[in-house]
Amino acid sequence: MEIFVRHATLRLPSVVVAVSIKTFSALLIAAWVIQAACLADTNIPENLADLEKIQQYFEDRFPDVPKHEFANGVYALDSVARDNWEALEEFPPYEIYIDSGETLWNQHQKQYLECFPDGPGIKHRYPRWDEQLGTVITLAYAINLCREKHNLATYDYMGETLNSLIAYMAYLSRDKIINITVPNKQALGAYLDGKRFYFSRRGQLNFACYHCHFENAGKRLRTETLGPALGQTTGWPTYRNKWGYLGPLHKRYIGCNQQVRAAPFAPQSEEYRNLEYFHTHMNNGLPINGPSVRR
Amino acid sequence: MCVIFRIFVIFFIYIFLSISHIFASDWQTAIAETEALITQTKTAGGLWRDTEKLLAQAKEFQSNGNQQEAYTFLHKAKQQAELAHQQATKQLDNLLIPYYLKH
Ligand code: HEC
Repeated sequence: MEIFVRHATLRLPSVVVAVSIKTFSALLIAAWVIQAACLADTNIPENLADLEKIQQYFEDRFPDVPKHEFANGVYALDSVARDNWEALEEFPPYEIYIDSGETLWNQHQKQYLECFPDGPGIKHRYPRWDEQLGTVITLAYAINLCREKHNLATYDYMGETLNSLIAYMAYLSRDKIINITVPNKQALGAYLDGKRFYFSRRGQLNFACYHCHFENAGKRLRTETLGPALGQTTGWPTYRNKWGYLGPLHKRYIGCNQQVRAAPFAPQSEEYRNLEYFHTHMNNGLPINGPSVRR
Repeated sequence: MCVIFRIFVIFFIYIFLSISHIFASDWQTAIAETEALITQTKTAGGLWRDTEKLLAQAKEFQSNGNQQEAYTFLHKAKQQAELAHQQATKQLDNLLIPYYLKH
């Protein structure tokens, strides 16, 4: 109790506190925006060289792992876990979701084809920068935008229905090569935002994604081997035994934030969409292999 | 331009932190201060998982008349908010980009 009563004589009315806090916050936010603009004001090709550097880093770290194997996440590194996983893949628990996803697609095929004229097998093109909306569009987000446009109820991002539909689309995109582009400076701003997310320390444990999935990839954390950052986005949606259902990438983001005791963001929030943009761009050249199954 | 604005940010944080303790004179202002810090940390994207829960617990103890526990929890929440805010602002200048990704 002591700590709050040290300066009782200098007590200020709470109005003053509120006003000064508001001014301070406004200044801080302004500085943040300008800071983001500063970062975005850089050379595009130079920044996108991250892609080769990241892939090179993991190829040097794990010279015995062929590049396409990184799409299998931690199972590219941990042979015991891999045995287990290969057994699961014989009767994959995600199969029923692909079937119901197909039914869902067919149900509104006409509307979906208007939004996605190349058909359902387009997972490898997402996330992408949308010029008109000025934001990063993930496949989940694009589906809900499409449904909104056609006066259909939007889906819950964490729910089984949307993820079944995406499982079907991912399945038809299998082996298609990821090719994410960053077309302009605004898009680069979003990319750099996602990059900043990946390398920022957060939570009470003070970890960045980078600590676990770059520096400590291949090492063990309690009972789990840490997977490499490279290839982390190729296999979604994922049936996790721990979840007992098929969930989206952003559910994993939430979990990985919470385990370092950081407050998570909402699924499909701008933060996570930008993160997915950076996170997927580094996988350019790898094939889509979703849906997948994980421990 | 970036450098000037960074200096500005640091300057305002310094001013804010150096005068902020004079506000903390009673329950209401301590709550207001913690909430403001939480808001700022949220804006910076660096809030911790349990801070808002601790604050909610503090308020609950207060409304149940348990002053001592209320202040203990408020203190924890405030401390977390301060550390999280420090952590978040530090990321602006000390981002951990490894040498092999530097341009
Ligand atoms: C404390 C260590 C730790 C931190 C920090 C961490 N993760 Fe993880 N993450 C894990 C573990 C453990 C797993 C499960 C094993 C694996 O697949 O790597 C995992 C799995 C994942 C997966 C699933 C990979 C797959 O193939 O299914 C993704 C995606 C992921 N993390 C993203 C992130 C992101 C993004 C961040 C930063 C916000 C992050 N992680 C921070 C420990 C961590």
